[in-house]
Amino acid sequence: MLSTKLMRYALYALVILLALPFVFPSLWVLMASFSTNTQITMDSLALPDRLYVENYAHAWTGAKFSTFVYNSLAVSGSVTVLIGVLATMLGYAVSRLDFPGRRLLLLLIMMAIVTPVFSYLEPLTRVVRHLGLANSRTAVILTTTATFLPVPTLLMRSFFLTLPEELGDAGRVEGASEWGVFRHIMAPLARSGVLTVLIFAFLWSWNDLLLPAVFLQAPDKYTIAYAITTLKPAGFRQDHVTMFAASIISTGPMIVVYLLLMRRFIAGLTVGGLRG
Amino acid sequence: MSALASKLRPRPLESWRSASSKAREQWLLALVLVTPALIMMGIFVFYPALQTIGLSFYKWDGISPDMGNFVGFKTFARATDNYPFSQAIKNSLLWGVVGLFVPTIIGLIAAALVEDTNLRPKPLFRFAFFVPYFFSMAVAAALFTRVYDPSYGMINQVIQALGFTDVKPQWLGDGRIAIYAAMGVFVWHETAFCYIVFTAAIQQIDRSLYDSAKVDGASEVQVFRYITIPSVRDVATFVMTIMLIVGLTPFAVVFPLTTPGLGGPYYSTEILPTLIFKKARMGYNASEAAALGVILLILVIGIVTVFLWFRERTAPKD
Repeated sequence: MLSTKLMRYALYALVILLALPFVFPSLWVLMASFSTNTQITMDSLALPDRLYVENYAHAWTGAKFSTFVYNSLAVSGSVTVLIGVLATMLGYAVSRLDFPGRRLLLLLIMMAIVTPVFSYLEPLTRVVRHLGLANSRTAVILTTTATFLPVPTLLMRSFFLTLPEELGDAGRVEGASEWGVFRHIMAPLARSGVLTVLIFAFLWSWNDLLLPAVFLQAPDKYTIAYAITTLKPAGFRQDHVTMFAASIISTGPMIVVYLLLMRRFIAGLTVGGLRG
Repeated sequence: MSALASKLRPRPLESWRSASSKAREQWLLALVLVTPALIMMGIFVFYPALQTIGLSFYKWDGISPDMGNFVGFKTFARATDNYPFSQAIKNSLLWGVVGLFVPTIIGLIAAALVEDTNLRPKPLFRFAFFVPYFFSMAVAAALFTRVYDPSYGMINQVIQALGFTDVKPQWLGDGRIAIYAAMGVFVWHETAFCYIVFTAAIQQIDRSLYDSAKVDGASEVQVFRYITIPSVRDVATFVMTIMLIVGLTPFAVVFPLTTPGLGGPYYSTEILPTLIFKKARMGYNASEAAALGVILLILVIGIVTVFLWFRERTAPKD
């Protein structure tokens, strides 16, 4: 009995020790976001004398994070809609339709997944310049959609492959066109897959750094993730608390997903992984 | 561009006339469903990706109106024969190895410790291991410029509090340790991702497997080795592939940690993406950026292919 009890304590000690490096920095950031710059420079481990909620107000208005959040919502919202529609269409075509070139198309999609954006970054910036999209949120929206699209497409393909073919055939017997089978039978059944793709696309573009950093020059167009990375200890007046408060604000979408939709998101991830 | 798109777009062949009406309808629908996505990817992925390969064989600054001269592999020689490049390759490879094993192994062990034991309350521990993922990689790295700060930073403050008052590492300022500090942020953030995916995978394992193993007198370690690990094998391959790709291109970590002075101090945190970013965005050397892009492409596709081939070959046969 004693040894099992001892084992139990050892287990708790082990897991807590393992979790500490992951939890502690996050707690430190949370605490510091309610502190003052003077307090942080003097003793950053000490609790602030009160909760400086005004840090958040300052980040929101003074440091213009309302603008950055708006930009991020505009970019991520557009990317999410575009990817939701395009990935459903493309995913259905490569999983459920028989047409010449399907295997080649699938191969191209696979190759696009393993091709890092960095490998064609310079020509991509020139394409964007030629289209007259330099320094615009549209450039970020279009490039993010195009470069990320292969992953959700494969995810949708796995979802469509789990649906029984007989459903489509039943529709065809009833006189539905191929479009009707897609639009009114298969697409509605793949709703949970689409939801996973929407979450995935939103979080991806909300968190992305590279494409905003490449295509946005004017600070009033920055997305929140990019804006935070520009608030670094470079100047002589270091404003730590604003940066900490802004990073806590940036966790908003992820918190919503964690509280409401985590199971679905993970289920989507693993299904995509098992069959991808 | 349009020539490329029409080449890739599936076209009805001669067999069109002999095909059944269902087949014809499917081809038409495929055309409608595929075309918009293919145009997007054609413009923003395939066209620049093909251009990068062509460009890498020219000597061009990226600004002059004509493309300059065809110089064969000279651009590759110029882009690779220097200290920043050798640093970038060394760091990228090391980072790939770290990505493949460190966050995945910690994530798997943590997930097994929480899910396969009588630890309570489980939601609290799940939350604890997932917390870093609330921040994006870039924001996490930006935060760690503070966590790593030599004077007020969290880590050195903890070291002080533990009594080691004369130990003050310059985590990001010391060229000997900066790359490991950067990898630390990567591991901190990506372990959460591996953890949550492994948690979902372990929850899907049939519980009766565990019960019968217990009846047979298997120890906890044996259960982990002979039931948990084989059951999550496919998910592990998926997670490791992602970690490999992200680990070979961890721009979102290095950029916030080392800007201004991207890749510093003195090229110690240089990776291929930072070199490419500098050449591409400052726009003074399009050809070299393209050559480095081709090298990165070969590196990532080559390593991922070898890894997947190895996983396939060592897969248990049933």
